[in-house]
Amino acid sequence: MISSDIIRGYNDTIILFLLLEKPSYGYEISRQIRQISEEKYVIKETTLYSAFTRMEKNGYIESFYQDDIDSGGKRRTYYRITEAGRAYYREKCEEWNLTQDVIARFIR
Amino acid sequence: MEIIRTYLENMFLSLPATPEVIRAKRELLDMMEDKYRELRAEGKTENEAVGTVISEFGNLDELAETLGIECIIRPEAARETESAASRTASEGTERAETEGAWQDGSATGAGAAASSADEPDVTTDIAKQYLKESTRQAVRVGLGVALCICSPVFVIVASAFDSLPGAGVLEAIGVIILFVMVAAAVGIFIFGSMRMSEWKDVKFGGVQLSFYTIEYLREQKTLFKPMYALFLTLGIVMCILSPVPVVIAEAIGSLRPGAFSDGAENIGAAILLVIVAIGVFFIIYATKRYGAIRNLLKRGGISIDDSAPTGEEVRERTEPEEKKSKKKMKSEEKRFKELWNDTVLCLYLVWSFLTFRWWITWIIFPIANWLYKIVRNYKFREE
Repeated sequence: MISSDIIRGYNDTIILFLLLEKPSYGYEISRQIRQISEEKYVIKETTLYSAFTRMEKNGYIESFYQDDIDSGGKRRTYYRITEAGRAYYREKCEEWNLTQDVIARFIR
Repeated sequence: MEIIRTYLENMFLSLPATPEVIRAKRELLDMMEDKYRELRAEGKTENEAVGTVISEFGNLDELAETLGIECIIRPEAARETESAASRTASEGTERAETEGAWQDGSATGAGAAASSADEPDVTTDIAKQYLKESTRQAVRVGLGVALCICSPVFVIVASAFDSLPGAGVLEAIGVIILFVMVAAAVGIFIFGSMRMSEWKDVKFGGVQLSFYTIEYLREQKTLFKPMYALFLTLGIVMCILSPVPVVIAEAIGSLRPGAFSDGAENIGAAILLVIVAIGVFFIIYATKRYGAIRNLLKRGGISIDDSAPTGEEVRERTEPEEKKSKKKMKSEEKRFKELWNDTVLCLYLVWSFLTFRWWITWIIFPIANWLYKIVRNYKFREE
C-alpha cells in the first residue's frame, strides 16, 4: 500500500476525477479508489472526509442530500464538482505531469 | 456493527457537540457502515469486517483542522496559542483554559460545546498529571506510615543499653526522635492531602475519558501490573517474616542469659519494626498507585478487565442523566468511605499509642469494617 504522506497532495485530484462524470457519495468514492487502484491505495475514512470538507470550503465541490435508491432509499450526502473544481482538477493534472517529468529524471 | 458504533463514539467522546462535529460523525458512520455491509456481503465474517473497517478508519488528527478542534486533539497546540497572560495558573485552571479554548475554536457551536462542561473531560495530559501526582502521593503516604511505624525504633534500641552509663540521655534522644518522626509523618500527610485536594474533581467527580486517554490508562495499567504484583508480594512477605529477627534474638539471648538477652530482644524488636515499615511502604505504594489508574478507568465507564466496551456501556452513555446521579451517589459513598477509614486509622493509632496494647488494638479494623457495612446499607440504600 502507498504511504499516505506521498499521496496526500493528490487525494483531491483523485476525488475530483471520480466526480467528473457524476455526483457521488463517501463510500462509493472510497470503493472506486480501491477498485481503480487495484487495491494498491485504500483511502482512510478520515482522510476522505477531511478532503470533502476542505474542498467544499474552497468551492471545488458542493454537497447535497439525495436518497440512494440502490440501498433501500437511504438518505446520503452526495458531492458534485463545481466549475472551480474542474479548473482546479486541470491545474493539478498539469502539476502532476510536471512533477512526474521532473522526478522521473532522477529515478532509475 | 455495534462495535463500529462504539468505536466511533469513543473516538468522538472528547469532542464538543458542534454542528461540524456531529456532521462529521454521521458521515463517517455512514461510510463505515457502507463498507461493513459490503464486506459482509462479500462473505467476510463479522470480526474480519469490523477489523477491516476500523483499521481503515484513519486518525482523528486529520479532522482536527476541518473541525476547528485542534485544541482538543492536540492540547499542547492550544496552550501555545493561548496568550501567555492567561497562563496564571495551577494545573486545575489549566484545564479550564483548554475548555475555554475549544469554545473559541468552535464559535459556531459555542452553545453546544458547553453541554458536557459540568463533567470534566479528562484528557491524556490531565490523566498523566493526575497519575504523576498520585504516584507522589503514594510515596508520601507510604513514607508517612513507615515513619510512624519506625518512630519507636530508637527508644527501643536505646533501652537495650540501659545498663550502660548515660542510658538516660540515649533514651531521651530516642524519645525526641520518636516525636520528630511522628511530626514529620503528620506534616507529610497534611501536605499530601492538600496537594490531592486540587484533584478532587478528577478523583471523585464524574469524568469522561477520551478514547486516547483510555488507551493511555490501559497501557499504564499493563505496564505497572508486574511491579504492582512484585511490590505487593514483597510487602506481604516482609510483614510475615518480620518476627524472624525477634525469634533469632531470643535464641541468641537464651544462650547467654542476663542483661545481654534483654538487649538482644530489644534490637530484634527494632528490626521487626523496620522490616514491617518497609513492607508496609511497598504495599501502600503499590496499591495506591495501581488504585489511581484503576479508579480513573473505572469511573470513565470502562470495565476494569481489558475487554472492549460492551453494548451496555454505550447505552449508559446515551442516558447521561441517570448515569450522572448514579455516579454522584458513588462519589459520595467514596468520600464517606475515605473519611471513615481515616477516622478508624486515627482511632487505632491513638488507642494503641495510649495503651500500648498492640496485641489487641487491631480488633478495631474488623469491627470498623463490619460497622461500615451496616452504616453504608442504611445511608446509601436508596441506590
